[in-house]
Amino acid sequence: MRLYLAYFKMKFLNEIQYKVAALAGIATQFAWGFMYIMLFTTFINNSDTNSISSIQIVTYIWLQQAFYMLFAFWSVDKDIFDSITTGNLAYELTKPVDLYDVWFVKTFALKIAKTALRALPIFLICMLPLLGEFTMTAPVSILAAIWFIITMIFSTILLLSYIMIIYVITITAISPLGVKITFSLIGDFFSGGLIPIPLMPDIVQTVLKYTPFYYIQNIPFNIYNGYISDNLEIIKIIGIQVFWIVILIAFGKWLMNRSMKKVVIQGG
Amino acid sequence: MLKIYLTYFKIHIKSLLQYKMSFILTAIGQAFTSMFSLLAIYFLFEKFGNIKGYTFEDVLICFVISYLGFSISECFFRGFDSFTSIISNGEFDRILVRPVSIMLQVLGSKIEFAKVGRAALAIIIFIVLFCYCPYLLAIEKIITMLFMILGTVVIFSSLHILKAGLTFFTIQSLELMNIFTDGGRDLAQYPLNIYKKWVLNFFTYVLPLSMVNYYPLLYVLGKTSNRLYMFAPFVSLLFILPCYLVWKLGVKKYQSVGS
Repeated sequence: MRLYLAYFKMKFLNEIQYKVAALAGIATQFAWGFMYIMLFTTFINNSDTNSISSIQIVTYIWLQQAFYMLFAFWSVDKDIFDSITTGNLAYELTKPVDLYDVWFVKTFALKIAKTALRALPIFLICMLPLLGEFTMTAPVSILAAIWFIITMIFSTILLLSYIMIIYVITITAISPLGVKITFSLIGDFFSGGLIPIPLMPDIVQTVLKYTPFYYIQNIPFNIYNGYISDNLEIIKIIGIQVFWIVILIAFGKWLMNRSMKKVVIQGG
Repeated sequence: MLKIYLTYFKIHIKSLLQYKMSFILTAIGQAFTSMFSLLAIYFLFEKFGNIKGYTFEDVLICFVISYLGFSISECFFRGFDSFTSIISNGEFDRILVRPVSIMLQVLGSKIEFAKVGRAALAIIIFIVLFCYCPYLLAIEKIITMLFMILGTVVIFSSLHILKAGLTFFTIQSLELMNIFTDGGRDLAQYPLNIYKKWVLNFFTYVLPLSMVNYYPLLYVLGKTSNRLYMFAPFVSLLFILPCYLVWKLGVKKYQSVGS
C-alpha cells in the first residue's frame, strides 16, 4: 500500500506544477461552458418536452467543466502509452509490483492533480451571483451533497477501470492510437461528454442504462442538481456502479494477465 | 510562387504515399470524430424537435459548411497552427535566410491531407441534404453556399495566421486562441442567433464569423429574400488585414530563440 501511495505522490507532484497550462484550461472551460449553456437552455426553453430544467442544466454544465479533466476519457497517462510503444514496458515488468495497480494509481493521481488545479476556481467563480442566469446552484440538499460525494468516488473508479482496459488492449493492438481514439470517443459521447444524457432521446437513455457509461459523470452531477433525487433509486444506482466496477476490473486484470503471457517487446 | 507551393505539395503527397495505410486510418478517424458531433445534433433534435424555428436540416446546412471550411483551412494552414514548433526549434531562422516568401514556406511546411476524411463526410452530408431539401438546388443558393465555405476558410485561416503572429510575442503555444478557432467551429455548428445577443455581436463586429455563417444562411433558408445577404461572406476578407498586420509585426520583432 505504501508503495502505491509513493507512486501516487510522485505522479501528483509532477503534474501539479503545470499551473499555466491549467490557467489556459480554465479559460477554455469557461468559453465552452457558456456556449453549451446557451445552446442547451435555448433548446429546453423553446420546447415543451418534459425533461431536465434549464437551472439544472446550468449547474450540470459547470460541474462538467469543473471536473472536465477527471471525466474526460482522453485525459490519460501519456507516459504509459509511451512505455508501451517504446518498449520501456520491459523495465516495468522486471519490478516486483502489480502493473495493473501501478497504472491505476498513476492515472488516478494524474487526474486528481489536473482536476485540483481547475475545479476550485471554476466553482468559486460560477457560484458568484454576478453571472446572472448562468449562476451555478449549491447542491439541492445536504443529503444530495453526501450522495454526490459518494457517487463521485464510485464514478471515478468506474471510469479508471474503463481506461485500464484501453491501456491493456493497447499492449497487443497493432494501432495503439486507433484503439485509444475509438475507445475514448465512444466513452466520451455515451457518458454524456458532448450532450448530457438527460438531453438524449428517451430510447437512447433506456439503452444506456444497461451500459457502464450511464453511471459515470451522469450520476453525481444529476444528483447534485436534483434531477435524480429518489433515495431508493440512488442506492440502486450505487449498487449498479459497484457491479460495473467489479466486472470491468476483473475483465481488465484478466486481459492484462493474458496479454502479459505473450507480450512481445519491440524496440529497445 | 505557385510553382514552389506545388513542389511542396508534391513532396507532401510523396511522403504520404509511403504510409498509405496510416493515412487511410487517420482519415477515417477524422471522419469518425465528426460523426459524433453530428450524432449529438441529431439526438438533440430527436428530443426537442426544433431550436428557435430551425429544423434539423437547417442546422445541418450550417454544421456542414462550418465543418468543411474549418477542415480545408486546417489542411492547408496547419503550418501556422503549429507554428510554435517552428519557432522553438530554430527552424524559423533557416526560413528567414532563404530567398522565398516567408509565408509560403510556413504554408508549405505542413499540409494535413488526413482532413480529407472530414471533407469526404461533408460531401456525403451535402448529397443527402440535396436529396431531402430540393429547394437548395437553385443556382443562387449553391453560389451562396460556396461563398459561405470560402468565407469560412478565409476566417479560420486568418485566425491561424493571427495565432502564429502572436507566437512571436509569447514564444509559448497559445492554447487560449483555441477558444476562437475550435470554439468558433463548434459555435458555428448552429445559426448564431440561438445564442445570446452579445455572442452574435461579438461574432459580427470583432470576429466576422456571422458574415460567413449566419447572415448568408438566412438567405439560403429563405428567411430573407434580400440578395445583399448572399455577398456577406466577402466581409471576411477584411479580417485578413489585422491578422496579417500582427504577423508582419511579429516577423519584424523576431529574435532567434532556438539552436
